[in-house]
Amino acid sequence: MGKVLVVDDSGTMRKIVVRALNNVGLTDTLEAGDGVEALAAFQANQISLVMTDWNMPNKSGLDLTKDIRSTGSKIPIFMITTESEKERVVEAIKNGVTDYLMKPFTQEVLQEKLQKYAIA
Amino acid sequence: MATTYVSEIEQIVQMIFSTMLSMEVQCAESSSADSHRFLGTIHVTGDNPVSLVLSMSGEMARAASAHMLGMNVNEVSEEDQQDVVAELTNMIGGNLKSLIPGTHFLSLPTVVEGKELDLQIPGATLTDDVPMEGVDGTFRIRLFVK
Repeated sequence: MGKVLVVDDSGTMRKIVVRALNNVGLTDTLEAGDGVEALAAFQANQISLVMTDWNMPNKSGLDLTKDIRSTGSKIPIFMITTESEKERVVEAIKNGVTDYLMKPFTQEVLQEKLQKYAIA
Repeated sequence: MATTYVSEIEQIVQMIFSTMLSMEVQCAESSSADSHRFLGTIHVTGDNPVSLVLSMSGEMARAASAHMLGMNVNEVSEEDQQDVVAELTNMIGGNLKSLIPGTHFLSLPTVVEGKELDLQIPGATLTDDVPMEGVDGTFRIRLFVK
């Protein structure tokens, strides 16, 4: 199992996501504050799961997803965002996002969604 | 006449505070933004552009940060409070965006901290002013339509 890459320009959201990952046993995490930092971290490390926001400075979570998929990588990419319109969700999935969670969410819901990655 | 979103804003804010912070908040009689220490702003651009401003007292920002981060109030830093106000502004704006007819994009949130803060949005009209409160303090959401 490689590292989990947590990407969000909000330090608060990164802490919430890392806490949920730790609670399901995924403790080997890396953090990035935008898509540019995240892509560099992805290229330099063995990453097995990406948890990303959509709206970020420099490079969005959607563009990060496209860049990761363009390398041929099939790792799960989990997007956590306030973008809740159906067409935006479809756009994300078409471009390679494998799981999607809309804000706000409870810690329980996030952990429930993360369980499958912990088991895998 | 511009569409107003007062009840939608109230519902969105209550949902966010309830699910992500385990805090109960409700509409208040009034709340002066002048006494608020943090001012978060986010813009929705597109067919029907709006700007949303969240102003919040220092006490409320500290309590919200503690709840959101699972920390004690005395462990919360200034940076934590600014970041939490930004994230709350982002979530309120993002959820409101989905209710506005048309195609829209959400800006990144910005936060300023200070005393007697006010914000002018040239060419925009204040359409909704929603004062709210919890046991820890007050906050206020204002919506400007361009």
